[in-house]
Amino acid sequence: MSSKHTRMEKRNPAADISLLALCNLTKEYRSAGNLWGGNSSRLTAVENVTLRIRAGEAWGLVGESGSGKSTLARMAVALQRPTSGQVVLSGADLGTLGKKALRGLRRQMQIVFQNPYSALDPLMSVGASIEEPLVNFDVADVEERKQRVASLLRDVGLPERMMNAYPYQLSGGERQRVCIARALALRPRFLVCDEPVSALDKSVQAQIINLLRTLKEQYGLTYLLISHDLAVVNHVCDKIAVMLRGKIIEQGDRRDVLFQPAHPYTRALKAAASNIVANPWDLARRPGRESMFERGCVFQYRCPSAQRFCREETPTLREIRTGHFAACHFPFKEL
Amino acid sequence: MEDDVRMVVRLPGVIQLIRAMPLFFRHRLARAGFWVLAVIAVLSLFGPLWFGNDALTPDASRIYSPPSAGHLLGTDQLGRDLFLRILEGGRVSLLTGLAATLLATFFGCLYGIASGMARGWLDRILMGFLDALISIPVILLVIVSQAFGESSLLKVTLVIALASWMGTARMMRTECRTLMEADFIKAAIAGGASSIRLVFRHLLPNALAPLVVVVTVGVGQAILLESTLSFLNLGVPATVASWGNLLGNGMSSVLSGAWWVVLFPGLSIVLTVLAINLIGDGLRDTIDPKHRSQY
Repeated sequence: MSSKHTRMEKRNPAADISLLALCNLTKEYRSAGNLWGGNSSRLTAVENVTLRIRAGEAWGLVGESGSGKSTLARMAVALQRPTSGQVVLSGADLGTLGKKALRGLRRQMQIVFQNPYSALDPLMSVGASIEEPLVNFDVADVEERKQRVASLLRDVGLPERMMNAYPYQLSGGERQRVCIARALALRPRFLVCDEPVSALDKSVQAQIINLLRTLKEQYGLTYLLISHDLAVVNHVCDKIAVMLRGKIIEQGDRRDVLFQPAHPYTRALKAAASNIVANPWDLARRPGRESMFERGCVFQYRCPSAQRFCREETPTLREIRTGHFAACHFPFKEL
Repeated sequence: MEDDVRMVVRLPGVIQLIRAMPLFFRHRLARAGFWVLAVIAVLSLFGPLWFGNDALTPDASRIYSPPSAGHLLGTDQLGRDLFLRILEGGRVSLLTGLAATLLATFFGCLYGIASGMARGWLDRILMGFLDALISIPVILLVIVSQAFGESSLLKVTLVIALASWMGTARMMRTECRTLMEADFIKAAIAGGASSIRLVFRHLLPNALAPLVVVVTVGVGQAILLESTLSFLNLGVPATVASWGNLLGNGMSSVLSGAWWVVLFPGLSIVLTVLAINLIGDGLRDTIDPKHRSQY
């Protein structure tokens, strides 16, 4: 556990209560099939995920495409309904709330999307987009709202006069900054960033990442940052969860997960990030076969150290060391 | 440049249309359509004020006089000036078409947006009902409408609106469904936007461009439908002149060799609908970026 994190816990005993808890969250998609119900297929995007996020933490959620990261993100901010399980924000179960109460809770949670080109209404000026949440909740009067928009723009590193610009006049990085400003307008406690930099080029990525770090302190935010890029997560987060095929297969402190990964998939991910030359942990190996089996570990076909036992018994998350969980029968335990 | 933008900041939906206008007028066919329609509309609406109504009183002495300097398009079976009759009919046809289309657009938007925003069973019921409605022949609607009292302008307008709102509903539903998937709508929902706000601030402005195209073409279709109904004596009352009525009344005249009594009203309909369709195409080409490179 990082020293910084320990310090914060001491300062704030209330931080022990989780701000956001995902409990046994599952999301299934059903294809309609024919008239008689035949041929309908089910796809489990997120399966039985449990995650507790305490106030002030920055969680990074990593995993390959199709692992259910974005679905999880959208369920966390109530943009999608889970098939089963609960999302609990500040003690309130989002699934059981009425429309009005849910709308009220939205002030506390906001989301930044992956693609800044589709996340802004093309017909609304930057100022109007950022102001919209304030208008929705009737915050302040016109003049004060304008002041707030201006200060939000400053906070995300954009000039005030950009208020009157339209999205088509902005670059990708500028748009993402506007999206962040809009998400911060209501001063939320919890911010989900769904691949916030993957649509941007490398140099802009770094700027946005640094901005996210600064804003975390400035606004006292709790993050759930989704990325397929370990480097991004390493920069911003202090906790990491790794997802594979809808399940969390490893979670723990940033250092533990990144520098002493216990699950072979995490190791492979790390190897892929640091080395583009072929390695024994080849992630591209037969990923398609995974949809064919039902029993056993989700990584069995690609895992170089898979045993017969792995094909029969599905591993569950086990505590490998303090606060470090992995769903693997044969985790790496080097110290 | 930013000052230009500031002016229209409260009218987001209009921006797209205003920006498209210079392009629209560079579109040759659309420009032609616009001016033709403008001339027809101005003549129809204000012509009678200008030319007076004297030539509209029946006059047995000039029945079926062919086109001449005195009567530009000739006279009809009662000796009335055909040019003025056409202007009179144009007023009725254009206004009926416009009113019916506006009504249909209102209905269609309401229905389409409701269906597009709703998920699951409500959407399925609404669309199923729409499919059923589309399969009712217009003529059946007209016959049923005959049961409800004398024919009147209001009734024709209602019938045309009832027969033509489904296309708009379909289009709006598709637009809304696509837009509802867009991240900026999700962001607006996450920001606490109400359904009303979603509709008026995000959905309608973003669907305005295709809507304008559909409405424009719809006016042309409505005029055609009105003409057909009036021709069959199922439309506007026989006492009111409309292009369709003129055509219907002129049927027997052709047999007497008075071809102009049918030709010119028919030509007005063709010219007007053609002009409207050209405008519609022009709008589609200029507003919708997908078509922009094609002219």
